[in-house]
Amino acid sequence: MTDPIRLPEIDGARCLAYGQCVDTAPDVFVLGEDGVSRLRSDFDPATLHERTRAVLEAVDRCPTQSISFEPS
Amino acid sequence: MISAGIAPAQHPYEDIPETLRRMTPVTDFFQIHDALGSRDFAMGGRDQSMPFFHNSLITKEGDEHSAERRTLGRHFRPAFLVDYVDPHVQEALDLFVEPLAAEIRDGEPVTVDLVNLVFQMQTLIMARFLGLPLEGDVRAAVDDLAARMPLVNLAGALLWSRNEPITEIDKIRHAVVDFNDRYVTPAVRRALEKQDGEATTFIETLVDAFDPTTSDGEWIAREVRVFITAGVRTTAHAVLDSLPHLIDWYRAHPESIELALDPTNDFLIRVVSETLRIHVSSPAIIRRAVASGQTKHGLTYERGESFALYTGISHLDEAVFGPEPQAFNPDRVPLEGVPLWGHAFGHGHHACIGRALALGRPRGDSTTRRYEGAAVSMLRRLTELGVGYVPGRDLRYISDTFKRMCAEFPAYLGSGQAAVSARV
Repeated sequence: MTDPIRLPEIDGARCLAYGQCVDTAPDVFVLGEDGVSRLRSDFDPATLHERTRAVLEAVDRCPTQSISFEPS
Repeated sequence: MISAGIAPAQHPYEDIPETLRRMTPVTDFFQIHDALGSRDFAMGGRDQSMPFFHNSLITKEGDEHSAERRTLGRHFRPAFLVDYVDPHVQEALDLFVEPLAAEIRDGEPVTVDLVNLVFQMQTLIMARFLGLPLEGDVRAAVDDLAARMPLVNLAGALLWSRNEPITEIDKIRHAVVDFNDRYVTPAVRRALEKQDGEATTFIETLVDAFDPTTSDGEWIAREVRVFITAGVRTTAHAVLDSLPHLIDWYRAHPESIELALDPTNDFLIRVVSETLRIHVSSPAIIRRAVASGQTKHGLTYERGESFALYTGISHLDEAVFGPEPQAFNPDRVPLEGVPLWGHAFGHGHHACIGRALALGRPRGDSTTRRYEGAAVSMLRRLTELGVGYVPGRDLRYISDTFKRMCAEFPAYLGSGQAAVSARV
């Protein structure tokens, strides 16, 4: 049995729409109409392992530390 | 203390203000990235400009900074940009470019000074965005405002001014009072009289957010000056610095004109980003350590130490930006995770809030609408009109501050293709 995929989590209350996650991992994150970062609706979780480094970079770069992610 | 890169005697620029010479220089891209991203570093070194920008967003720190950034951030969200900013960009193009396009359709190419044209458009866009009054004939009102802006803008660049500081600051002070009287005070009065409806201009939002227990009476005026200075001067020069590169690129790569004309292609965003990487808006970003420590990439810092982060040097690091880093190349691929513009918009909690105004926002996946940014919109329209040099007429640059700025850019519109000869 394989472990479930752990997706990045975004704390919308902390996000201040800097957009640095979108710069770092544009295939994963998008800014919504309200300016809050979220996962792209067309993001395929099965591809997350290919983007682990970029997502960790986004976690590191977020000025408000709104993203949490623990790679499986 | 030598923290990184170069010794104090080997500053990257010969002609640098004495203030900067006393700071610790940093030229390594990732050490700069660390400093910008760390809460151990606060904005610093703006003493010369502080009377004009005191307690504005760029000087606040901590929770106070986050709270104001959240309040003002609504003006930079995708939906707001589409609904309330894009119409201003279209108005600027209609008012200043379309009459020229009509002349082209009637016959010969027209000659235009792109410096004047771009500043007019960007001044109109920012005046509308902020909510400054433009009474009567809009073109005349824009010209009147634009003529007053150089001294107001200089308030933000005092640290880099080459002119005698005492008389300089006196001129700026008078210009700022005049600017407040003519533009900010009437706009604030109008916002106070607005009874209902959501705030659609920046000044309306500032008026709504004004808190007499924590804000002083000059706060709105200072915030407006920060945003008009950054919004007009920086964006206009991003466009003007991009154009010579772009015209040369079209000449060498004519197939790229199609990419520029395709609104779904990011070619022009890459053009502006690459331009901003090469032409930094100031020689260094200044930071002051508010704690002691060492960053991930080895920058050591002591509480109270001031740092000059030389992005003009770090942006030319071949290990980060690839071969021939001095050369303009919109197809350049930096290291993974590094934006093509480097630190042109800063990084971390003081990253430029207005980046989307110039470069647009990627389309959110809940909408098909997209705001593509003032700089990109201008460059696309000028490309459509076949922007090119005027043979025998050179571009003129001035160096009042440490940024070499284009002061005159004679150009043809309607030359059929973006190309041709003489320029300096």
